[in-house]
Amino acid sequence: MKKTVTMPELKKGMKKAVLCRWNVEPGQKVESGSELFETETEKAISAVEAEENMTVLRLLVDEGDEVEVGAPLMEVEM
Amino acid sequence: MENKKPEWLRVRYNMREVNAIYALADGLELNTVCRESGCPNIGKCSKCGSATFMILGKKCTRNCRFCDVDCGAPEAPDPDEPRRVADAVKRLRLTHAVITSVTRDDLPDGGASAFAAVIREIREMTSATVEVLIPDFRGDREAIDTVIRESPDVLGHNVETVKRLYPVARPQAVYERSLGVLKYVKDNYPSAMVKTAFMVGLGETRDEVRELMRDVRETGCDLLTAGQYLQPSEDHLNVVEYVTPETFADYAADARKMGFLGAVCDPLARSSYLAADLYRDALAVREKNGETR
Repeated sequence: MKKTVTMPELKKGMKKAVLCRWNVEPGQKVESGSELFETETEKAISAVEAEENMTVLRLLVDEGDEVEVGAPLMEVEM
Repeated sequence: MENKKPEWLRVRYNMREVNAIYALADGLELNTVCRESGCPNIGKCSKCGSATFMILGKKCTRNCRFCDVDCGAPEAPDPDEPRRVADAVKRLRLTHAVITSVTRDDLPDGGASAFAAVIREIREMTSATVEVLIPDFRGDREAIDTVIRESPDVLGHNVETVKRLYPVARPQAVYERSLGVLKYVKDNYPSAMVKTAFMVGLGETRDEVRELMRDVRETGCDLLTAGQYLQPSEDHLNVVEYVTPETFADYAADARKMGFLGAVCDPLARSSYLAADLYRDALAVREKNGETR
């Protein structure tokens, strides 16, 4: 099943964040708990983990892009 | 793209685990300090199914320049909140519950009776040990007594920063008053584990940090945590310095030399960071030293 991973609200009131680094690439199989990407919030560098096993289909934003909370970041196959 | 923050401020989030904690808190209409203060450790703590509950609403009557908890007109205390906190502790199967509050200078007892009720409810519904992190109650000893009478396992009050920076960081608090709270608790409830926490990175010197630690230790305080100040937003105080893990290790060594039973000094440490471990380790030290509870 195809799904879209979106920018999570990592901190109360967070509206957007810069995607600093991708830790996966298209075609890669990813296990639950593996790091998908990093963002920088006011307080920390936050690495976001895969919530389930998945295969990465497409990355929708580039490193350095500022992305709103809830906006699509990547397409994956669950 | 390069991260601007040092690598030691890197944390991990699994949103499914974080959302599970949020859902439990929301379902019971409870607030967590983890969420309200934007704690960077929420990913780590939610992995362990842990959270720190914040009672008496989400609006604080003080406006400390380092804190992300909202300041504003506070809500009326909810008399059923203590039962729901205990329910959450039970559902999360916490073995060590940490409860704090917003500062409620508007209430005659500063919220002390709510802390007492929470301790009673947790004891009634679970076998968890209980740690409370109290405000200064404006130095009101009767209010402190109200909490002491319930014999929490750990009683914490945070000094937050060095004396010189109080007017900047905590304009509505007084350094000596916070030390006085710790001393009063230890003098009147010597079996308690008394705990404090402070931040670094606000422009304090190492000598000032050591002075703070000595002042705190002289009150009889047993436990401390020290962590990096992290600016919640552009409206808050700037970070002056990212203190290195090596300096934190030096502070931990200083704390041990000064006689603290336990200290967690780490860039990501907050007052309830690894609270269960710190309490149990300190208990073991106390038992080894032949002290009784």
